[in-house]
Amino acid sequence: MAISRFLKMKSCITRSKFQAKEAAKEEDGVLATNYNVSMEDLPLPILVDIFSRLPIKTILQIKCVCKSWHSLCSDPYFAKIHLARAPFSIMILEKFCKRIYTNSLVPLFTLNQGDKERLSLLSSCNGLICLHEFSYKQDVISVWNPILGDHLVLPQPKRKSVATRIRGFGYNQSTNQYKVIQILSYKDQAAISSSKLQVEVHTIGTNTWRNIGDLPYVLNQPYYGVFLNGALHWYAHSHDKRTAFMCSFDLGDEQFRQFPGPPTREYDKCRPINSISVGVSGGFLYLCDGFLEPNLDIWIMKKYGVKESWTKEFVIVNSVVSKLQRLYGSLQILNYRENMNKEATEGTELQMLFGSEALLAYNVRSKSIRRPKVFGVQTNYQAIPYIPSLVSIKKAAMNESSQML
Amino acid sequence: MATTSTVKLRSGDNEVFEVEKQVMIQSGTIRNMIEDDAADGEIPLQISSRNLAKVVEWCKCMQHRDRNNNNDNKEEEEEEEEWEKKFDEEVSEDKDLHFGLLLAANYLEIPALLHRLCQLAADIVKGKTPEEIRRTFNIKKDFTPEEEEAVMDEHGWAFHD
Repeated sequence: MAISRFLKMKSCITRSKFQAKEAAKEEDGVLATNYNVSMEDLPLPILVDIFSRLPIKTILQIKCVCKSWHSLCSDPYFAKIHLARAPFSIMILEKFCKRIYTNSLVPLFTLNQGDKERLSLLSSCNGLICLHEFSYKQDVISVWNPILGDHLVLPQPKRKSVATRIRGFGYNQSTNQYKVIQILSYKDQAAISSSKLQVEVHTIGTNTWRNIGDLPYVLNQPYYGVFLNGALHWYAHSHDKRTAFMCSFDLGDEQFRQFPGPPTREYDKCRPINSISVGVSGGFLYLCDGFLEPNLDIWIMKKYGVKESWTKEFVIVNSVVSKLQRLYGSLQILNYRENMNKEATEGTELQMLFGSEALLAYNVRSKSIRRPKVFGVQTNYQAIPYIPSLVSIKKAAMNESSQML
Repeated sequence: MATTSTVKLRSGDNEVFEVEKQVMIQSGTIRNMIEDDAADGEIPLQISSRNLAKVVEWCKCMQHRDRNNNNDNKEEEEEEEEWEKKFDEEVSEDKDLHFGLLLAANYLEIPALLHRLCQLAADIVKGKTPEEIRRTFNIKKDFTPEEEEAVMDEHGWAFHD
């Protein structure tokens, strides 16, 4: 359990007053009796349990209650425990406004208007967003926690003559490292053959990009790898285009591997790239197959890594949906949750985002669709699934660079 | 195996509660003692009789609910819900009881009760300003005015809307 893990690590946090008192009482032979206990006297694991149930906005406020709460809520271990309980949300970026919504599109809060205006949201992991900022001098890739407002700029690639593209951002729990991967193509090549693409990895906190060799497959979809369980996932095909399959990139051993996909029709043959979308929602990998228009089959991998657990959970038969899928070439499911289909009530809706701007809600029971009105959102916006968290990218970077010394 | 079907719990203020083992095995601490055949005499607990009575009552209610989970007795179900609602209200309004039970549930290792009480505490904290929280829980502000300004500035946006 999270708390017991936390207990082992608690030495990193200021001991609460209670522990000192408790120790004193134990010495006197009077243990933890419960007369007139105050909130400050609760043992650390209980406080952590209570606080980890609070919405993120309340946590930022309770940091101002007293010093010990401030240090507890600023601790990376607390951030981890809170993250495990935090609800899935959506980050919506308009031209002059950044808002965070719940995954049923209820506005949670509006963020401060910062200086970042010309930017695009690439992907998110643990409440951190990988960003692309455009400026006149150079394009900057950075990682940002919009809640804490902390921001880390990634180093520029060594060779300027090379065209690079960020393709994924994720976290490796066993080493506590965040990594970004990018693909390099050589501009001087007459015809860029995909078999010549190289892969580079950047570990947050270091100042280099490491080349790890050739890209073994063509990564089709989605553009930014889907992060789940310490790996990035794509729908890919072989260089000779004979076979298509799911693949993963393990952020620990930095290897590409084929990954068990669902038993879709025509699975092994290459088909139009934009008929497949892969993503993660509610902690589950999904694959949307729109090959047989106007049917859109939504497969969910119920147990990570187990091929037999792929289940065709929804079949959406709707010409608008298949038209949007074809138009945008990708769709993201925002609010899937376990047993959503089985437990669906009249109002249960699956939120689907096409490209990063066309939002549709599919009623699971009535099988109708509607375009939800998102309050305050203009027609021109970007949206990505995201979990608001207290994870500090600066602290993660400092942790990494201190380990290298 | 022990011969009797009950355990005797002695509170910090020397009141003895005799409870069925089946009820008290919800507590990891007591369960271990029963399994180790160490629960035959009285078990002394540093928990006040008021709080211990409440813990025992809660365990009885939960055990009753679990046992009846399969029959569809609407009346009993409503009764249990009513009891839980009353429990929540009583705990939320009485901080001594609330925190006392938190410590007791922690000490006795009763995860379901601990979760319930933590959620109730979170519900009380939710939506309150730092000042309201200090007042509600009688917490002393240990920031200097300068420090307070700095921590308020840290995440200024969270205080708007």
